[in-house]
Amino acid sequence: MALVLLQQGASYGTVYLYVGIFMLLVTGFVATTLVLARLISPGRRSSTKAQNYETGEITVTDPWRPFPVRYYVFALLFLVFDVEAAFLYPWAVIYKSLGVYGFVEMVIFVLILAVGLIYAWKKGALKWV
Amino acid sequence: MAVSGQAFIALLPELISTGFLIVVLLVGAFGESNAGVAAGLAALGSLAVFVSAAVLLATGFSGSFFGGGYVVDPFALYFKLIVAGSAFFAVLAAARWSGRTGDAPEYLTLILSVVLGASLLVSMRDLFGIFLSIELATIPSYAMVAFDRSRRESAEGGMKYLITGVIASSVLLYGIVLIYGVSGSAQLSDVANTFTGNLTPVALLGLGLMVSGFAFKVSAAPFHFWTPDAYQGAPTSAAAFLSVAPKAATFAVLLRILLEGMPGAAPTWTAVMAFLAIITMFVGNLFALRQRNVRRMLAYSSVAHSGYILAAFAALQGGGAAFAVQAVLIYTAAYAVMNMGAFLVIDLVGEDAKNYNGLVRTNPAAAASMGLFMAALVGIPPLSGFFGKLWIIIAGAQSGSILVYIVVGALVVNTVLSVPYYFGIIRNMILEEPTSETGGSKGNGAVRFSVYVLAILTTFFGLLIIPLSALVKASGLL
Repeated sequence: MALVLLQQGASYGTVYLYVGIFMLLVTGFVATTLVLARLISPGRRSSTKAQNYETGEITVTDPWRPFPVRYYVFALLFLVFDVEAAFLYPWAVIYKSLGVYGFVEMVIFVLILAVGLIYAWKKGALKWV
Repeated sequence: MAVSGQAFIALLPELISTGFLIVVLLVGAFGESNAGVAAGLAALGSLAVFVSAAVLLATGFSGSFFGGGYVVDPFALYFKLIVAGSAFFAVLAAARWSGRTGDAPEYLTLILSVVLGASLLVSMRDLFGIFLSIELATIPSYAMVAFDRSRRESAEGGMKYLITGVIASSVLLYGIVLIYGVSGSAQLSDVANTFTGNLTPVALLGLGLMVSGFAFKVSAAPFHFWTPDAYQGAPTSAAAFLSVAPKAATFAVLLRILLEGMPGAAPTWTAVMAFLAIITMFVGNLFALRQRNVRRMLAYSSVAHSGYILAAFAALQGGGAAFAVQAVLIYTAAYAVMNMGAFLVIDLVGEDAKNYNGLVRTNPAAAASMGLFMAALVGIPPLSGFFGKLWIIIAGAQSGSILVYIVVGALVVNTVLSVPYYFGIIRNMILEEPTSETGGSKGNGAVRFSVYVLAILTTFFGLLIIPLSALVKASGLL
């Protein structure tokens, strides 16, 4: 809508006014809903309701305890490949027009990311302990 | 499309730091317990960056590269020298300690990453390049603060720094995006066309958000809350390095953005800077007065010194503008030597004020160095801090603006305010009797060497001032 207005020659100020109105509407809607829900709903508190929601099961342990970070390491490594892929796609599309220069540049980029992988590999991050 | 040979020369310091960074990391991966090799390579790397920047400066190399987004001028090279020089001392100070953690190569890689980010930062003329390199310098510093796994405060400081830092980065990015939206270009020269005398509300908002983001990075009040916790928790070498190198680079790029990107809006942002400077000076000094922990005291003192540098930013108007640029450059160099030195003494003596009792009798050399650093931080002539303050006062006097006179007045008041806590340490060292808590036997040769060299530089900064001011005059920003 803002774009359409801009094309019709409206000034930036007018367009931002619309954005401001939308922001007010959105916050107003959320606030009204929450306040209404608080006012209308019958609040009967009980200890069962105050429990942590664990997919419907009764909680068995205290959630404040150390947990293994194995997934975290894999998520980090995934990031390496993810960034690589995100750059490789647009590069591959215009590969022909880039020529040798583009090839060398991408090899350097991949090599730098590979150093990260080699480091993680040597440090045993790929082992499931 | 292809990158010219000139561009490779322009990127020499960055290419060197990238190379050493990768090698040091691989040393960590492929060798067991070779902290010495990694430290040697990292020290060599930061020296090589220093030398390459010095050579580029000496040969008068300058130019604009990558579509005008990257610039090499004496101004940028000057800050690269400060960054690489402080990295060298940080590596020396960290060598033995990081070896004990068992992860020396990782820690040294983080230092080199900050060097890479900071030296890219001072050369950037493109707003998004600026954001990327500021993150490249900041993200490793979160890890550096949290690196000491033997102390809980280290993790706490790192966590606080990370969370507040991420918020500050997003605020900074939002400001940059708004500026980009208003001016239609991220190049500073194009931004200058939009940021003229009267700013639209959106432009003003962008400027305000960007300055807030930068204020966080240089720990200016009221965005300084992370500083004491982060510096107290951080390993000493990290606190020493992070309070100097990334801060110097951030001040440099802020100066470049304001002078190259928004010269027309100078009345607006000098007023903002004056406001920030006054608050920052008072907050830093008043909170430092109460500290018994030297590390925390120095953290607040670094907040106060950010305020002094911001005072020079406030003077970037009228007849004092050229002098104010010089003041920022000279103050940064002066601050780098004295503040790093003061932090590194903690590695020799200890972080509690009691550790300094009677130090002059048990370890005269460390006591003399600490005394010099403290006196320099106050601004006693002829030590380094004096010249920094002198330049700021002269710049303020020439600006011809009432607001700047007030800022300079606040600077003088704050210099007096800062005397008790700096001289409190000196008093403890001389007048108190040594006790069992008195330190001075800690540390190793590398730390001692760094402290003494920095003490010598602090003392004889006055001799450097003539070549330095010639260099600063040629910096080319104004």
